[in-house]
Amino acid sequence: MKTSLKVKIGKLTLKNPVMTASGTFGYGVEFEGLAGIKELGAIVTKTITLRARAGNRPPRVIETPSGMLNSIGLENPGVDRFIKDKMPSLRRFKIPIVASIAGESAAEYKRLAGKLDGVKEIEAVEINISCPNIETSKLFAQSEKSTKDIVEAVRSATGKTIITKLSPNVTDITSIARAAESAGSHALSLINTLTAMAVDIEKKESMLGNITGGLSGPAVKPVALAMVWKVYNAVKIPVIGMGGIMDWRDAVEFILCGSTAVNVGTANFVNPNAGAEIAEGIKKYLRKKKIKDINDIIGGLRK
Amino acid sequence: MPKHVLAKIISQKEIKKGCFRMRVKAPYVARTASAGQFLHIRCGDSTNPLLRRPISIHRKGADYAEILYNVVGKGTDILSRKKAGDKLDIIGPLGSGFKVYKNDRSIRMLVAGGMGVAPLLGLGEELSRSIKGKKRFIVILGAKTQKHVLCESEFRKLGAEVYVATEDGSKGKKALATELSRDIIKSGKYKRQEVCIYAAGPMPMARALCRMMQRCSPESQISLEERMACGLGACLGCVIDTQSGYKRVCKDGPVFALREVAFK
Ligand SMILES: Cc1cc2nc3c(=O)[nH]c(=O)nc-3n(C[C@H](O)[C@H](O)[C@H](O)COP(=O)(O)OP(=O)(O)OC[C@H]3O[C@@H](n4cnc5c(N)ncnc54)[C@H](O)[C@@H]3O)c2cc1C
Ligand SMILES: Cc1cc2nc3c(=O)[nH]c(=O)nc-3n(C[C@H](O)[C@H](O)[C@H](O)COP(=O)(O)O)c2cc1C
Ligand code: FES
Repeated sequence: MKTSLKVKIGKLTLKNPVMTASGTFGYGVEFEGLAGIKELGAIVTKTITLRARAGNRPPRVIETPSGMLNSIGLENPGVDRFIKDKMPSLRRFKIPIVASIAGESAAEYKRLAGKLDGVKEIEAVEINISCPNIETSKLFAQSEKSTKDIVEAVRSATGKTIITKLSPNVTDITSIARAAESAGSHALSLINTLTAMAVDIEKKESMLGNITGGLSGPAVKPVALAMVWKVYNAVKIPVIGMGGIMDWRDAVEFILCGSTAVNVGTANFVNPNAGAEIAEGIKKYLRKKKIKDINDIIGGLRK
Repeated sequence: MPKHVLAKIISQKEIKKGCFRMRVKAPYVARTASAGQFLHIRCGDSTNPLLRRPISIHRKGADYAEILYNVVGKGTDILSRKKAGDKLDIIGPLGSGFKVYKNDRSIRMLVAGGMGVAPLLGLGEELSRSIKGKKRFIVILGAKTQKHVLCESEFRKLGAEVYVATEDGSKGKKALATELSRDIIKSGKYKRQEVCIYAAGPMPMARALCRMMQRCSPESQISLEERMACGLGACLGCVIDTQSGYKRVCKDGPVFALREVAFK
């Protein structure tokens, strides 16, 4: 029996639904030799900004029960150096590249999308409006209006597939999801990390230099699944699910809750080959269940 | 290029209370690693602890590598319960290790604070092999008490001149490793600019050393620690501040030029 793992996200076709999550796979090269990169559906890059960012004060990572906090603060070399220094190696993998972008205003997102529009191998742009580790008091992803403005600005600057990455730190994620959809986003990805803390009681200080950070890993999976399920039922565009996916079973849970594709994040730190193994595991699951096409089970949770 | 392997544990011994030396069969690591590099170890197989733990390569032989570690928490506790014959999930060798420059004038001074001795013994072995003639090197071992002094006889066997400093004075000089090394330099026995420091130890020691030793040889180096996630240079989680901005301990380090480190 032939089993198809092919999925479509906007204009982008993925040979399988497994992508690496932004910020957890660097620019791919760091994992060369340890990860089956060619086996991945796509790579999502670390979030890129217009100008280089140094990132937040260390310590930037700390483990918590079945999870971790990070407060990296979008350290990146800026879009021009990204294109010049990071794209050549990313190209070599010959798999679709999704460029994650973040700006301080809709105009900045637009300029970023414009600069990346000319880079052929970048097949989609992920709009990160949900990073909890930057200076602003309110995330763009916490406002329907900001979400809409940014998606529209990006749309006006690029013909590439647009994915909008949502934050779990909201009262109603479906309203933000609909705002992004109505503004023309081709897909939604969720969840970004949950704002979180850990405290050193001896020193009476936060374990993170930036005081707060974002929680990821197995601890967030149940929260992420519920959000994916809610958003899947609220919009018509594809949903890319993530949050604590460690193995293929977790990935199948997300697919059943409505994820067309999944992102693997924290798991890359535990097993650098997690993405490729998850893709293989999903395939075996489909075969065992005699399912010909993965698209037949997306959102297939029995009600 | 690092590799991800399941290495067979050859032996594990508690050499001092709470301090373990483990030997694993790892021909690739043995062949390619340099002193100061580390292994990223998955201690358990559940999600708690979740992340790998960085542990320095302590020594290596023809087809094995050794680690030396203290039990300080969940991960190292699980590690300490493993037995010969068990498998250990490791990625390595990782990071950039100590550089040994060909410099005949150089007086190499290894300064170990506590568990910092782990990578320095490997360096000592490398020095004793690579440096021709009878050029000795000096080792300063700093520990809490006499009971905590590690690897003294190993260093002596390599022909090193060994000094011990303990915080309570139960062995050697009652001082910190940094203070003892400063006193030795100040005694005028060696030209300060020719003393090449190789240091490893906890952060407070690193801070003190960077303050005291800026006028030593520009070849001086220090191994630093920061919490890690990926260990591969991808997540940017393990940075420390340097004269040229944030640098990743796992990739640009853990060994840095002493002059490059910027403590505020
Ligand atoms: C490059 C590098 C090399 C290292 N080499 C050695 C070695 O050879 N031998 C050895 O015993 N230890 C070494 N360490 C420290 C070792 O990684 C930690 O002790 C270990 O991660 C603790 O894990 P745990 O689960 O037992 O403790 P946890 O429960 O995670 O934490 C217990 C305590 O350990 C300390 N700690 C945790 N993570 C780190 C870390 N990444 N760096 C420093 N301190 C930490 C914290 O102060 C914490 O309070 C090294 C660290 C680095 C970065
Ligand atoms: C160290 C680290 C860095 C991250 N950096 C980014 C980033 O730059 N941009 C972004 O959109 N998400 C970033 N994320 C969030 C992940 O892409 C993902 O949304 C989140 O971690 C949940 O998935 P996981 O539990 O599988 O890791 C980062 C996560 C981690 C752990
Ligand atoms: S631990 Fe990820 S960059 Fe160093």
